[in-house]
Amino acid sequence: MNLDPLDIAASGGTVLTANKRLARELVRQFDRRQMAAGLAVWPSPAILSLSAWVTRQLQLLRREHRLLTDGQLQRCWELAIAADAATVHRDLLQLPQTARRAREAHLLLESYCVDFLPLDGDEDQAAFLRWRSAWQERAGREGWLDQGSALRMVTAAVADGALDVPSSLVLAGFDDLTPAVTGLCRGLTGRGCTVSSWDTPAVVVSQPAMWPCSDPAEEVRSCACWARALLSARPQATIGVVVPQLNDYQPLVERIFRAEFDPAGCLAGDEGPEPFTLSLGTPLAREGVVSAALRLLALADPLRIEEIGWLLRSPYLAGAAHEWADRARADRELRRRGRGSWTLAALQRTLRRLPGVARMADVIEVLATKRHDRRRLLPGEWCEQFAHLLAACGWPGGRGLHSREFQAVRHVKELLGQLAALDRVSLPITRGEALALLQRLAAETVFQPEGAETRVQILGMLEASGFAFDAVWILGLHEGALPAPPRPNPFIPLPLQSRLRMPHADALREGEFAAKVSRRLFAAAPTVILSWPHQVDGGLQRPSPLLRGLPTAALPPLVSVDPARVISSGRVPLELLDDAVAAPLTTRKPFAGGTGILKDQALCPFRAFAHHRLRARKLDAPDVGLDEMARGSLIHVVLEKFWRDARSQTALRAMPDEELADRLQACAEQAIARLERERRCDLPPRQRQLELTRLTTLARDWLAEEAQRSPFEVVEIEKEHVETLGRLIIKTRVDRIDRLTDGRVAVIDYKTGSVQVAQWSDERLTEPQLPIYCVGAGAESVGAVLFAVVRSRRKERGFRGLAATQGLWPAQEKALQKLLTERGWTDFRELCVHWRTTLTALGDAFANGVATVDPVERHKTCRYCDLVPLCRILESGPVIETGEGDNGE
Amino acid sequence: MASDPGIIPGDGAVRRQALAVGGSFIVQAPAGSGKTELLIQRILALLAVVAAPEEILAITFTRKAAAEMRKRLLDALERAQEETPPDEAHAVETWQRARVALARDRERGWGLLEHPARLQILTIDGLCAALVRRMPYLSHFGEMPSVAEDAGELYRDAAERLCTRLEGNGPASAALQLLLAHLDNRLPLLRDLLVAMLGRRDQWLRHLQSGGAATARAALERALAGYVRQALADAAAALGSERLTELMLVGRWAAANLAAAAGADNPLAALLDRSDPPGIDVDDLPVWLAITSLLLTSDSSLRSPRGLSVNLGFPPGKGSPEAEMKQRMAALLDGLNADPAGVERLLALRRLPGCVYADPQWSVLSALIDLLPLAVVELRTTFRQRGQIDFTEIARGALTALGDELAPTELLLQLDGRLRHILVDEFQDTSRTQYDLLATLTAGWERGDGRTLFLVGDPMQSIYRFREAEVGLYLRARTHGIGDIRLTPLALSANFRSQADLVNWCNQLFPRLFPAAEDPVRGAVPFVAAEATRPSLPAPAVTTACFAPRDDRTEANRVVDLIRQARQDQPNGTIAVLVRARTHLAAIVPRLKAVGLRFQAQEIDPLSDRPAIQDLLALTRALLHPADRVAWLAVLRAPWCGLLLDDLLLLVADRPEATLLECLAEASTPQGLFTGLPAASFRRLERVAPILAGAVSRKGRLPLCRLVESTWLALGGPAGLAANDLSDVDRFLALLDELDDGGDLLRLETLTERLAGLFAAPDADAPPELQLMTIHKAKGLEFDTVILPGLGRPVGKGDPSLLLWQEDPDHGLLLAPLPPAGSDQSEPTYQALAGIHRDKDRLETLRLFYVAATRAKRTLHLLGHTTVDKEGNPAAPASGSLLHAVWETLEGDVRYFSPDSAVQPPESSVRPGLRRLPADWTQPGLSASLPVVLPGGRRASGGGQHEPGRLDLSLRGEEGRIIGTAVHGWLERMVRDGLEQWPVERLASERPSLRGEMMGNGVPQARIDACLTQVMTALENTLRSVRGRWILGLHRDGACELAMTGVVDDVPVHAVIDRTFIDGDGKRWVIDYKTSAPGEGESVGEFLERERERYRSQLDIYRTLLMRRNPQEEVRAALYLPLIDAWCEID
Repeated sequence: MNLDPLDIAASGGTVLTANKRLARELVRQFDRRQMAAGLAVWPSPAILSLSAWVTRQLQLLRREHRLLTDGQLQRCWELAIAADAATVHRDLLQLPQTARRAREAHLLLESYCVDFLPLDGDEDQAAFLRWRSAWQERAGREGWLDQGSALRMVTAAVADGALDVPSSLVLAGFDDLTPAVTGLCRGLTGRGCTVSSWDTPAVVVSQPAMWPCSDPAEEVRSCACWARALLSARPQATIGVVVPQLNDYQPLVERIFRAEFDPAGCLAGDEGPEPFTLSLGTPLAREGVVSAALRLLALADPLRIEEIGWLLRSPYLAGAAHEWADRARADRELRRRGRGSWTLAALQRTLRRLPGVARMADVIEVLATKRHDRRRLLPGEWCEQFAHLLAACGWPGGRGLHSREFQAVRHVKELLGQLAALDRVSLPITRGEALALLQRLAAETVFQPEGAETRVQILGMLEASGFAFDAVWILGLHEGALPAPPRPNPFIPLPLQSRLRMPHADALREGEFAAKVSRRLFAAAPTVILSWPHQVDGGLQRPSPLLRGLPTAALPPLVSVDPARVISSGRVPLELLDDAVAAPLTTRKPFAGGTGILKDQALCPFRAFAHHRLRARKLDAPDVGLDEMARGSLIHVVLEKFWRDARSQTALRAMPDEELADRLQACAEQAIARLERERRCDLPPRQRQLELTRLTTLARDWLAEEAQRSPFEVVEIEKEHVETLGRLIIKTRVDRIDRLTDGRVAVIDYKTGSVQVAQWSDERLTEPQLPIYCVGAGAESVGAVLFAVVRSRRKERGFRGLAATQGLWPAQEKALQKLLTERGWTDFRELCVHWRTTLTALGDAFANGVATVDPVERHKTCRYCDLVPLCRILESGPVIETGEGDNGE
Repeated sequence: MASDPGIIPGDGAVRRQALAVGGSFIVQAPAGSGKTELLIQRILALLAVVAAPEEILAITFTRKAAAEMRKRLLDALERAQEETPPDEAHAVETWQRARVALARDRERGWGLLEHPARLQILTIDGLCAALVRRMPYLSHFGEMPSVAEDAGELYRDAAERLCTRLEGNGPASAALQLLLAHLDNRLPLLRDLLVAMLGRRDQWLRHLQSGGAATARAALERALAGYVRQALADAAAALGSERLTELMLVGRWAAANLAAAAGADNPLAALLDRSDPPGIDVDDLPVWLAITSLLLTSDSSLRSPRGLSVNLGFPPGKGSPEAEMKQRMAALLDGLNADPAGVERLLALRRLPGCVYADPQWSVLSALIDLLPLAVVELRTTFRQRGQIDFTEIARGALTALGDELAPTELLLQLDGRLRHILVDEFQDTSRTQYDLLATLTAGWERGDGRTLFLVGDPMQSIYRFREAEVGLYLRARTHGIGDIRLTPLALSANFRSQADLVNWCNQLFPRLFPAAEDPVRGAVPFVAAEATRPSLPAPAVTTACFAPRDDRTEANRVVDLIRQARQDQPNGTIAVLVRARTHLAAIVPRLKAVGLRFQAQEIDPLSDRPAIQDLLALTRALLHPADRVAWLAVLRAPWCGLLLDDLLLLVADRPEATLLECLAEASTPQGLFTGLPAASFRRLERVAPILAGAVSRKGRLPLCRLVESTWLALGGPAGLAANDLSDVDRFLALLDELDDGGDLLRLETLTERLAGLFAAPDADAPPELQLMTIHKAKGLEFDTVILPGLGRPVGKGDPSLLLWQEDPDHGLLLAPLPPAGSDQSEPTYQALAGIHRDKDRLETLRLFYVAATRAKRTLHLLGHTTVDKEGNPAAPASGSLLHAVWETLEGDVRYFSPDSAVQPPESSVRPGLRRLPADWTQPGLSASLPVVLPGGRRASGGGQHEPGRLDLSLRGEEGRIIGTAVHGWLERMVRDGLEQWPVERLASERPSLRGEMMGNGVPQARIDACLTQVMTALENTLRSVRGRWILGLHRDGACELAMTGVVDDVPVHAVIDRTFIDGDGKRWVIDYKTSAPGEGESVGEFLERERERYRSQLDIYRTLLMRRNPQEEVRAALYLPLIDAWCEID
């Protein structure tokens, strides 16, 4: 029997739909019909979803408050499962999801009016039965209802006359009528109500045809272009796009339909109304404003640097609109300090000292004072606290809310309400538990901003039932999608599911269901296009068996109006120019940047320009623990402090072991304290202790090396020099200068990484620090140029470099000789001449604004360079690393 | 696949045997032997005998392979519906078998072609997931979580959380302190090492879970000692007692000679005063080491008899005993020279682990044994928090759920009853967990019960060690079977792919490269020769080119020449350039592009190397972080804006701390005109700056990928890009969408890290005949011509591991912790295990070479480099390189190339210029949006329209709504029941159900009473008030909650009217209830005025609808406010 539900509604009958969407659609059709008939006013029809109707009946029975909300039910089941798990010590990774699945099983059993015994099931099913009886026992005690028992109650009330029944009732859009619903219908019929079922719009003559595509993207693109063409030709048409695997297709569908239907709108990036209606929303938790609230609530103490960065960048906090620039600078500054995490207290103190971020400091203070609360409270009380915290942090900020944001914020309030509603079923819980519940609610709540219905409806397979369209396109009909692979509920014995033909039970049932649905859908409109992708994620696919024998569609040429394609095919010739020299320096004062400028200039002129004139530097990304830079500078400082006191090798040698140990301990203490002062953040005690030990050990090992050298005196430590190199003047520091026995000096640079002495002789002089000093001081006075490699591994420790003074460092002497021979020079003086020439050229080039992109070794120099996006070197080809990274994957 | 039926392979009998449905087999199927076809034929054969298709389970290595096998199987079944057999001979067998299977399908009513899901063809991960899904409880998972694309981030999270316990008081702290000290206090290093360990936990976890550190030491040292004893026994057996006795005799003499000279440093000291041959106890080790000193040089080669000198205890002398002893020793050495296996055994003695752990070493090991399980616990917490797991966890879950042989779970028993045939493809690349899973699934099977296992693979092609594949498991299964199931080993030998010369070349080369004997511990697999079925071709099958010295550009030129030559020889032939690591293509890709050869590169070009992607990355970073100066400057220099360096200098004008947004805002003020910015640049800024500022102000309002995409479009980002660039952009945007965190990114660095793992799409317009890919990607493919460049490059070393482990089937687990960071000495146990791992790697590299070489159908080109000596003569290639491995065999046939002098100028001089849109560029016209909005209904009460303004976050607003709903409901009920049923006193008795309603609707426990009071007040007020009683009373034509629809402004409007009736004067009333009350300090008069205005339009609509319904009626509208019993008529 296929009575038109609209007729029934018009005659005062009731129409019950499988879902809300169809109810809305039928109301719309009803209204349209009334308007077409010229009516100006009419009673609203009784068209509603079955579950809304059940609730309404409970209201009439004055039982509706006994029906728990979905959230409450979910919580009850979670508690039941958790209690069970605790008794058998089984820790389930996904408790909420398990509860959902178990509830589904429970509802299935209720809907099919069946049950099974523990003996008939496996262990999983036995566990389910335990959970279920725990729920049923509790529900019975409290008088609570769930969907299944509510329907039973209404059915009984219908049967025994406690409820009035309409004269006629039609069930619309049910692909399956479960025994429970059939029972209700029997009851209604018994009371004289005419019950019918309807699932297809008036039969249309349709010509389904298939359209093979190479992959899902091409499929969606074809569909969107087709729909646009169709609507351009027939503006009054309605189009249904049905997607059996809507979850997988959703991102593609949204993107491509937006691009093809509203190309200009894609550029605006506004939250305007969508040009299509999609039956799926996105999780509420993904909305910016909601995610901000959840993160704010979840912040712990200490904060990780990325969380701090997030706070400082978020537009949803108090003062963001005014402090944004200073906050961004504050983040850069905090990152510079190299700490991977900050306590709230330290962070607040630090922010108070940084310019322009007072309101942010206030927010941190709020977070710090609303510290971790260890009480156990009812969810509702936590809600109050959460709401207070959010308000105190100024959430959702002063930017002014957009329509979409406003709706999302309203949803957050509703969520808090839902959480509070758990008071009814919950015992006091910890803050963490309450927050986890809120997060889960937000993740599970589907958010769909309100908007007008459109002519393009994008629906899942089940939701499409009952709709009438002028044209339908069904996407993704490959073999794996239709029939869907069976997915029986694990909590009900398989044979039972198969016997009763429960949804998703087995391949047979899925096959029959697919056949039934496709019979309906393939005839849902005069035009039906069925597409399938040859490939999904690289795997070959065959078309669904249900497409067998269908003709291939004859579609007109599909024209894309996607803005990306239109703009890129505009064929504008790009200008190509050489932009390698900028304005010269005008200052004659020392230029900030020190030897780093020349080092960068040598590595790549562009790098020096960008780092030192544009002051472009990447944001630091502090890691856990101490970074290598800090570790290097710590040992620097330890040695600096030691030698400031000791001054000579004689003193070192004369020092008793114990005194040496004490001094090193003190130096290490001071070095760490200095680092802590600079960063305004103390090291955690154990890390600090470990570092102290490391520093003293390393310094002691190093000093043992120093004790074995020929005698020396330390004459300079970290002294500043001003050097002029061509047109460039810089300030520079040398780590240490020793006076040797022959009166000449050894210039020393501490290194904790690996060193390459060859860098001193290469054309570009990529390690210029010591050469700069030598050029300034004059070749005669320098006896040795040395890296002091201070490393824990003995083989790697020691001096590396060039020695002109004879007899002190044989290996370094040899290195110098080798270098001189290679270059055809006679002595160290000539090397210094080379240095002077090179350094002068580098200084001049920098001062003259030379900013050529010319890395000394493309693969090495560019690999870790932070300027790759700015210098545009990739325009001339990739910077593939030549490393021997193996495994091909 | 064979398309030439000309030659019938000699292994036909083997193939027929493999299709015997009653037997269990392990099949070695070398390259080109038609393995997939055999599998399909076997499945078809099984289908012909099973009761249901679900009894067969086929397991493939990748999802792609599963999809392909399913497709081929179904295609075969479909083809079998036709009566005419196929023309190709090899297809006939498949067709025939498919027809039998199809007949069975019809007879049993399976409907396989209608229900293809009944064919169980899964990857091992898919199987595990299916098992876990069936056993949410037993697997300890609950519902199946999603599987992380990049589990590294999960490991990192867990490892870092574990590291924070350093400062805590738990047991982890001590262990962490010890390890950190051990690692030079490098926390990031410890974290990274832990991350690496977590990724491989399926290998070590089961070893660490039983017992604790205390009980472990004895067992572990037993295993070490067992391993050492085994090595000694092997050496003893290799030498033989006769030789050993002789050695002892000569050795003792030499030792005595040395004792005088060398004293304590005598390497042979252990031989002094010793006449018996050494036993095989660990105490005997020093004697054995002395023997190796006698026989082997310090660089581990056999001594030459000429090398016997006084330094070794053989003083010169012509007579006895000097000459005699020297001669006897020389004879021993000669004998060993002919026995390389014996030498190998002796050499192994120098790489033995220690037999006990030194205390410091043990303390590190025991810290690890304590700590690593804790890391796993943290990982589980991470899994729980993120709702994501890794593949290992699924497999572990599946194993847990199945139970084991002794305690099988219900599910295993169920599966046991149903599964009758399991087929596994690529079994050589199986991992330990997968192996265990297979063993568990077949645990209940008994020999001869008709259930079969069919394992197919080629141990010579096992190349997935980095994914935990253990080829030793294949060898073990072949020898011992799996569980109780014995597997009949079968070996296919026919090669349907390569021309005879190539097959023969392989048959000659590989036996020399591959080890002679199997060794499951080291994954040593001997070579098995193939039998050519295709004729020889005239052209040379293999060429070898060697570049001396290394010159990648010359090599790239050679590759180009070879491609052109192959094109000429065979215009439609397929060509592949295969490399061990994609970085080996660094010089080749640009060269191919330079000469205009188009190719498809599979996962070769990193996405982040594309300028278009770098620009998008910069744009993303800029939009998210105002102080990311590099990103902002890059955005201004990108083609869509194209500012010059001078412009940028002027713009930032010596303000190192300013954000570019601030600079831009200033530059665009009237004063900004005086910065000196040229007019053209100013125009560029004028177009771009507002777009950027607008985008920044929208952050958070829309998903990040949309924020970036819309900005990019508005800027003109796509201009000048090719179709391929656009598909790269799509990939980038998809990544953004995946990482989106509320329109932002939490860790900005994650984007760069993840981007590094993505590759540009292959050039869709390039012909598929020329492909570039890694050898791993080429597995299973074939090409007419295969070019293998970069063979001269040494294989990289792996990273150190916190813990090395090796399972020895005979002695148990060998374990060694990483030596301390600052230590110089090598630690023998760690070294020994590292040595085993190096052996495994070396053997796998050779197999990789085999895979590469066997991809070729016609021609194989080997290219590599070597160094040159001072005279410019080529030396042997770097050890560890593939070229080195094949050197001896090939040297004669190698063609040498010295660097091309005529190559193009060095690439670094190709200066990147600035590419940009013209200053006057304008957006091309875009199509208008389609007007697609459907005329729809709206609600009269105005729901859905937002009222921007002050937002009350507290829950009171929500409570107000709940109170309102409750009051409406109860007032409706009173009308329905009739007022006479509702004396005021009755209210008190309704309190409990009202309370239930409040709770159910979400009023927090603490607020229930307050809300309840409000509702009661409203209801009581109404019942007590004259006006209230009049409203609720019985009237003509009255209704509550009257639902009406009417057309207002051409739109249907839905209204629900709280109360309406016709009063005694014949006037119709429309009354709306409002449960609001005056605000603080607000007078009732003011309040009512406010409410009146607020609801006027709503009530006007109601009035209109009712007047339309009955134009004769006079309709009046009013608000009733029960909380304050106020009445407010709307005029």
